[in-house]
Amino acid sequence: MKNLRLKAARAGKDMSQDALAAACGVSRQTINAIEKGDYNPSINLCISICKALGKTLDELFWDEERQ
Amino acid sequence: MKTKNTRLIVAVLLTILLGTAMLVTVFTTVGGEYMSNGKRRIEIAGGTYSGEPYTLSIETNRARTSYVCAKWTLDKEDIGYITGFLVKNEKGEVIRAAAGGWASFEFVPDKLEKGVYTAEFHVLASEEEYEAFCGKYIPDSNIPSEEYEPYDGYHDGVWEESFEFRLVPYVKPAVIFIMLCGIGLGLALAAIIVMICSKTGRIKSEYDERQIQAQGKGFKYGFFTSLAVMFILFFACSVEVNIPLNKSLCAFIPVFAGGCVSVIYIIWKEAYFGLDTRVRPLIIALGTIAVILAGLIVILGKNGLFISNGVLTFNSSVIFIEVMIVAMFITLVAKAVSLKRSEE
Repeated sequence: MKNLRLKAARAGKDMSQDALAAACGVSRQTINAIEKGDYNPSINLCISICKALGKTLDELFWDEERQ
Repeated sequence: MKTKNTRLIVAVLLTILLGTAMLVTVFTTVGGEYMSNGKRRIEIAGGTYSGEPYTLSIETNRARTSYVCAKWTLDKEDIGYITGFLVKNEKGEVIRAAAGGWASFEFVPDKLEKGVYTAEFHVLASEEEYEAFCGKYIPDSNIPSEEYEPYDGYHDGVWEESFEFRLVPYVKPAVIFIMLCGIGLGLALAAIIVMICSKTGRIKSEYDERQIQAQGKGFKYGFFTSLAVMFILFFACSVEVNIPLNKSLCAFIPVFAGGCVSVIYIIWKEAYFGLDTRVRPLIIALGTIAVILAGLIVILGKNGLFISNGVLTFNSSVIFIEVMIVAMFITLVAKAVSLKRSEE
């Protein structure tokens, strides 16, 4: 499932995939895969992304529809 | 940047040094490979064979001291026609002999000194014998007599067949030195490519968690592919299927197949190259290597070095490597294009 909240948060911060990837220490392809829903990141990577975007884990990764 | 340039200069100097050492060794000690191609032509007139054995002169060239003759094997195409093979020296003395026959024929002279040699084939080739050969051969091959087509080389009572006799230099330490230089040269060139393609100039790459996960899967698939190919080859050998590959190539194929699958999978998952790798120079480097290898394949092919005695030689591993490089190139380009499209 696509992670549109991550994409929106990144766009809100005016960051490119490359910039977010560099901030999190991963490849741009990994950020792209997370946004497309092709890859489930580890909790450590989720935290890094949240810190880089100034969001909480709930805001970016909590799936309310599944609850 | 300064460290990167220093490393690059060291790698280039190492490449030049190893390349020069390799070429000097090749031209001073080993370059005497000699191959002779010939054609056997036997006239069959009035149902009788002239009785003259076919002869082939082999002259060892350059100032080498000794040569080793490549293994000579005749495959099933030759069954029944060559019954004996002799190698004579300049004085006409028989120095090596092998008996042929209906089933198989193999001749491996271990070492020949510098000089002129004559390879002599003894052939059974009267028309009656040809018919007898067909009669013997057809029941075993499940080909009905009326559908049997004579071997391509047999036309209007004349049997023609191409063959080769190859002498390679017997300079073992030099060959080992060249192989070591070749391995070192390959590693140095790979290091240069990696350094050019790396943003930081480091040889060791770093990978993120997704890439490490994909690499694990890729290696797993590669391992299973190797096992599967090994099993197929083992099965083929067990049921005595004639595999047109020489022994070293048989050992190479499973490793190559496994490597190929894992590399392509990992590239497809964008996990083969590290975080600081620039893809564009890498695509250019791979394209250049593919073109160079294609040239090498043409040269080797023109000299007939891919097939010897009906089997693929280890030289043909270049073709497999070329296939892998081209597959890597195509995968990289496809991924670069798809990533550009999905960007942002």
